[in-house]
Amino acid sequence: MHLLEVNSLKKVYKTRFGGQSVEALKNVNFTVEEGEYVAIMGESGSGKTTLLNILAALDKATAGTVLLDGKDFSKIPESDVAAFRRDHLGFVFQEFNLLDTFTLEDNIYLPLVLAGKEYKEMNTLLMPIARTLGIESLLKKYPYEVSGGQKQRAAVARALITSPRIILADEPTGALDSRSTDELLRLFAEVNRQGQTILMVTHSARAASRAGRVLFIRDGEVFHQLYRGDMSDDLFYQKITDTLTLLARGGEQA
Amino acid sequence: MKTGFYPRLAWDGLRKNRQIARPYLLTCICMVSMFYILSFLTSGEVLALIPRGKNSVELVLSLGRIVILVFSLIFLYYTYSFLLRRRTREFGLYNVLGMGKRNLVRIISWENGITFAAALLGGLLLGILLSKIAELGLVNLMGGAIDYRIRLDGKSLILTVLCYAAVFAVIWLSAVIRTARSSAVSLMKSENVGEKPPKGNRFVAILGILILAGAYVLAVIIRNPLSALLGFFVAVLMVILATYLLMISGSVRLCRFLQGRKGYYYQAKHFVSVSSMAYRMKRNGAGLASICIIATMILVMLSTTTCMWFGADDSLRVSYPREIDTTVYLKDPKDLSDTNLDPVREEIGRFVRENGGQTDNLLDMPSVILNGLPQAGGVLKCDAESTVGNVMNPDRLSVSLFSPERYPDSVGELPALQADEAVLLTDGVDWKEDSLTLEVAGVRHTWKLLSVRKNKETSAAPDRTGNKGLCLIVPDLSAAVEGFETTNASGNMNYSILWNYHFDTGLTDEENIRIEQELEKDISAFMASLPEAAGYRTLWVDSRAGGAGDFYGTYGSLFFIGILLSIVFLLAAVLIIYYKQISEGYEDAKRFDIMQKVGMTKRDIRSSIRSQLLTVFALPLAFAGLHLIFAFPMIRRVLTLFSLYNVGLFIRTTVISFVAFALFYALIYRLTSGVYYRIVSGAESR
Ligand SMILES: Nc1ncnc2c1ncn2[C@@H]1O[C@H](COP(=O)(O)OP(=O)(O)OP(=O)(O)O)[C@@H](O)[C@H]1O
Ligand SMILES: [Mg+2]
Repeated sequence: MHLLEVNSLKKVYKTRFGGQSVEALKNVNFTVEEGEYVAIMGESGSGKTTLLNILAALDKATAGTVLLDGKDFSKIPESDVAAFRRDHLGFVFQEFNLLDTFTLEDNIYLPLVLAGKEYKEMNTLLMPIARTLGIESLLKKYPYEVSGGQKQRAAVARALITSPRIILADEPTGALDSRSTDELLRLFAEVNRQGQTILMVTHSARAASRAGRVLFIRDGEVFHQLYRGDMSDDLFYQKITDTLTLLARGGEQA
Repeated sequence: MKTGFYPRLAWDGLRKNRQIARPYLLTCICMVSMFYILSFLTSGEVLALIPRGKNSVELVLSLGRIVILVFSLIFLYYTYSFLLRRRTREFGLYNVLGMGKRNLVRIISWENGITFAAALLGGLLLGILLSKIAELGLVNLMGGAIDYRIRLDGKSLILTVLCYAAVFAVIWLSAVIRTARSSAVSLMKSENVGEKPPKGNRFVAILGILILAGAYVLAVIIRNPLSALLGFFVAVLMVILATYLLMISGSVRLCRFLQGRKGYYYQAKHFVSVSSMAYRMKRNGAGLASICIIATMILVMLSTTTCMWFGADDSLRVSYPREIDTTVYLKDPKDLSDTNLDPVREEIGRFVRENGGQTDNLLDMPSVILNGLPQAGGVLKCDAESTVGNVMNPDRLSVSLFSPERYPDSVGELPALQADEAVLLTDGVDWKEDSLTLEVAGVRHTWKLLSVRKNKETSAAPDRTGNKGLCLIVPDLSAAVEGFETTNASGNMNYSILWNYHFDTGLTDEENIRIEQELEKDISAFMASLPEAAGYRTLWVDSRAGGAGDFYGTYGSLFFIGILLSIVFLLAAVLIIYYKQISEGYEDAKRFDIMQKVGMTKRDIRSSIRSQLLTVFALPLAFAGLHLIFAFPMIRRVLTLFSLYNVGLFIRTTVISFVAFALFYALIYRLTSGVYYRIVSGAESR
């Protein structure tokens, strides 16, 4: 059984005042195995965020199914979706999405508090994660007091603390400088090595080259995919950029 | 036409932020017009139209005006800082695009200038319009002659312009300082990055508690109703200040304290609400405090003025125990003998019968009246010096001396009185001594009290200053004041020889008013025909029906002002609440979005937000109720100045006002919550 299975996923946006409809996803099919680190690439407007939102159960597909551990998303009753998301999925967003009313520590606890955990238990869960992410000394600070990279690390901690089946990240490095980007990618590789499944949308070939597999999306379909195999980062990077060039040329021809 | 660059930028900025700018401008206009109306109503021209009760009207309105000015400053400052915060991003962009601080200050100055001009123009226009309506209502209730001329009071106009120029100058200055102090980056980021977490200054919170406690103590201990007016005013300012300090700082401290208690804080139902409350209170504490102050003002005004209106009848009966009230001043205590008074009694009876009435329910009280301040050992110091200047002193007692021959029937049988023995009648005065001494200019007379009886009828103070009265039944009136100087050096009476003769005629009000005047003429003539030795000096005849005009005029006008101001304040409260909902909506929209992504159910978020809104809704109301409870004793004392002793009535009007206000407040909150949910659900559907 696959960890995640996406079958003929389709999403059509209807503009609110009738008329125009946009087909963001046409027919998306792919699977993710346990412990994989998958990157999704594609041009702006190709439907990456749309896909991730559906995987996150933040949005509903027009057609097609998403199975997590063989369980169909659309079968989960509306009232349980949030709890399902909280318990099985972890998120990292481009714009961090930390609540500025909480310290970093409390931000990280948020999903656990919602799940009704005790403070002691949350604290023991937090400590190893904070150590891995190097934010131990920042826990009492508020989001406005720390840098973007530090914020993103706190957001990663928040995603990790529930031990989710899969982490979904939408351009997690989009708002970071190159040093923080490298740092974050190193951390992603690290938690992946510890067994965490990661699905990450990115624009950057450099970021994608750290993953184990790259999916290319174009016009609402999975256009191509690359496996790292036993390539080095640099070689893999080379292949990704080549594919992107091909993709761009293909776009021009179409 | 070429418009300047800066004015245009300022105008665009206001238009782009109209959802916030418009209520701000509206509030400015309301404040300006309110201030103008109050100034206008205290202007000479309007007061001249008011036949009765000018002074109290002027006093009440002037105090109200000061409160409004202080309130405007705080409230407009708060509202504007919200507008400014919304604009900092825009300013940051200008700053990044190469506009210096100097240019930003020019934009802000134009923005303030435009707002000021619009507020003054709109406010004065609205004020002039409404002032006519206010004047009509006021003058009508006061029984003055109504005319439909539009009045403009130049002095009030100038005063309004000056006061609000000062208010806007403060707001402008603070905006300039804030912009000048902030850096380009912080300008740009201010909305993205989020605000500093509020700490809630401990010192400020403690200061708030102390000031509030001080104000409450002041409100409870002040006994003198006249100084109570001043004390009340000081206490009001203290309460306003304390409310702001507590709402802004105290509540944040409380949230911080709760956050410290981990077992409590890290529960799903407290976690989000406590931490966002801390933020909400910092941003909206001033707004809540304003709502609380306004609510208190409305409640105090409504409860007191309705109490006056509905208590007018009671108060009238205290002052006029019977339909007709004849008061005769005589020269000597000996003149109070029945042989001397009987001819006048007969003449009154004859005259009233001739006019178709009776002299029923007689209250026939020949008496010697003194006013004294209690000293140790049951001594009352009755020098005119110690009493004239103390008309409003609540300790002052009026003492009526009755003879055993003539006293109200309700007193009942008396024991035989020896030379230095007396019977004391009181109502509400707790006399603990077993003797009573009157002292005038060093001369003392002392009586042993055989009994102390409670009697309502006699304690109605004959001079109508609202002071409590004592009545002493002494064996001999002449002996009682023997040796007392009649007048002091400055010619004021130390005691008066007074004969009160009250009765019911059983006639209509109109007839009683007619009889009042004719009886006075008739008896004056009759008294003049009596020999000089009879000792008759002056005579007054009053009727309850005649007095009612005065009473209802004064109380009615106060009632009117109370209602008028309540409406205006309610409007302001509605504005603030609306405003708060908008700002909270924008704050929560982002949070709503994030929390949902992190796995909070919509129902959780909604219920958490609802409980916060409810707390924030209930807080000002609860505080207003608390303020009201502590203001109660003081207001009650002020009410005694108006001969209103009916505590039960005051409690009732207070409770009813509170309930009515709470219902209205809840309604407004419900309605404006719609605005809130619309903004938040905009985020929901994103
Ligand atoms: N809520 C929406 N309503 C209507 N159309 C939408 C909505 N969200 C996205 N779209 C459209 O769907 C398409 C895919 O959008 P999506 O955000 O998934 O792209 P993306 O791959 O994430 O792009 P980017 O790399 O720029 O983030 C676009 O054409 C977009 O305009
Ligand atoms: Mg996207």
